[in-house]
Amino acid sequence: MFRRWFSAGIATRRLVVLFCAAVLLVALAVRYPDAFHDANETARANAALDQVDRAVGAGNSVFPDQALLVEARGLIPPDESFAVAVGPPQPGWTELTANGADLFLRSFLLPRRLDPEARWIVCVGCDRNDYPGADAVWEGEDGLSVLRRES
Amino acid sequence: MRAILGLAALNGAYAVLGVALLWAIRGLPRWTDVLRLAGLGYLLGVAAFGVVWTQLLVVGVPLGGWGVVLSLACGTAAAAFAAVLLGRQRPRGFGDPERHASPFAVLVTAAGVSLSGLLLEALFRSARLQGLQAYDAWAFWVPKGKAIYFFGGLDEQVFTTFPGPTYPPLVPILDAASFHAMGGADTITFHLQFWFFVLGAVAAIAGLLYRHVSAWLLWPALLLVLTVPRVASHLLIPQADVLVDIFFVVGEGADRSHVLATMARLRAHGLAADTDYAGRSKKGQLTQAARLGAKTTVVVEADGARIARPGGDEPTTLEDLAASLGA
Repeated sequence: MFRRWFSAGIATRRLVVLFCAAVLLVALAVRYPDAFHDANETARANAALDQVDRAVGAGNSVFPDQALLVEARGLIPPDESFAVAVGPPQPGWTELTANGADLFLRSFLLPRRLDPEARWIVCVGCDRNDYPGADAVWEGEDGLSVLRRES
Repeated sequence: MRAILGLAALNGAYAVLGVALLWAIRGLPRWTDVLRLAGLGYLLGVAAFGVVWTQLLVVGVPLGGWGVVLSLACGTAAAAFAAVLLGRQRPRGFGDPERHASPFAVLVTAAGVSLSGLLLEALFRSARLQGLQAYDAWAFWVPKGKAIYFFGGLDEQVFTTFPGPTYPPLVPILDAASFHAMGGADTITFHLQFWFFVLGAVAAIAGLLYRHVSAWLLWPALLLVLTVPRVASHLLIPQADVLVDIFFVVGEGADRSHVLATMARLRAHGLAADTDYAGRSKKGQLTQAARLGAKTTVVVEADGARIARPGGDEPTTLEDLAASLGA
């Protein structure tokens, strides 16, 4: 059999195929257990999170307190709009808070639309004097609050 | 559970649509052909659904739950009607006269299917409870899908003011259809939609190559594709641009509008270009470029640009860079 396999003319091609198949099998023997382990680890880590952590997802990296997102979603009716007011960075903020808060809120709060003149204001360290007559409906730490003004 | 069943039904409907299209295009003489090409049919169904709804949304047809059901049912009926008109025979019988598998090939195939199945099962559990983490996913791909789901069409505010306004809406359309199938914009369970894409792709590759490649070459190669880090870590991320050709790291004081214009030129020439939209530090952007596996990383500063190379950076300008890449 081996003599037939390595007969003149096609031996080189077959050796190349065998070499490639061997490399493939070695790579697979290394990679498959890792990929299987990673998928299981991710599944375990996801299962260990609570429902709010999963729902907020990347928002946990953008906001110092996920309660703002939960409260904003609960308080602002889905058919209303909201404004986002971001103030200067404060202690406790992540490096993404100042630049990412606006975009994340627009994404997370859909179908609520963004409107600078909206009745609801999600305040991320904002200056409340800029919104006279607006009441805080919810207040958290690190300058986070949800305001509502008379329409 | 209702959400998972809804997603399974939607993806089953994609497969039925695609198989009906294949029946019309090439005929499916045996049930084994249906089984062998079911993965390809699934991908064809997904593509057909996405392309047709892209056109429908552009002309203002709203995408609702009934729209999804009707379009899949009508598409399948039209494909079956075309197959009958073209005189395609109904599939009959089992077996594959063009393939005589040796016991060794059967054994390798069984091992390949088992190992793929094990990995897919682990990925299913991983996707089932996955939160939305990837930047592009939450920043624009998924919001666009939510906008189509909630507002029925290409909402002007979302599609013009979120990042990536020029990207085709195929993935957001598929996202919106999955939200309808689940009964809500559940951005957790929704990751299973991408698991179905992986399953369909594995079935398509295996089914297409089954007759042309020996089992001992096919299955190790297919498994390796699924397990290489660059692919394995991105399989379930709900965004369209899995591969990034060029990532622009933008330093303090650099002209971002110039970078965005260069990216637009590169994208117009089919290159996947990306940058940071989250205000990351330069170190964070370099980490992001590495995480995305960008083929080329370009660091843009106020006083010039340079291509990051392992042996030392290479100075360039954005014009030279675009020209050297044919853009």
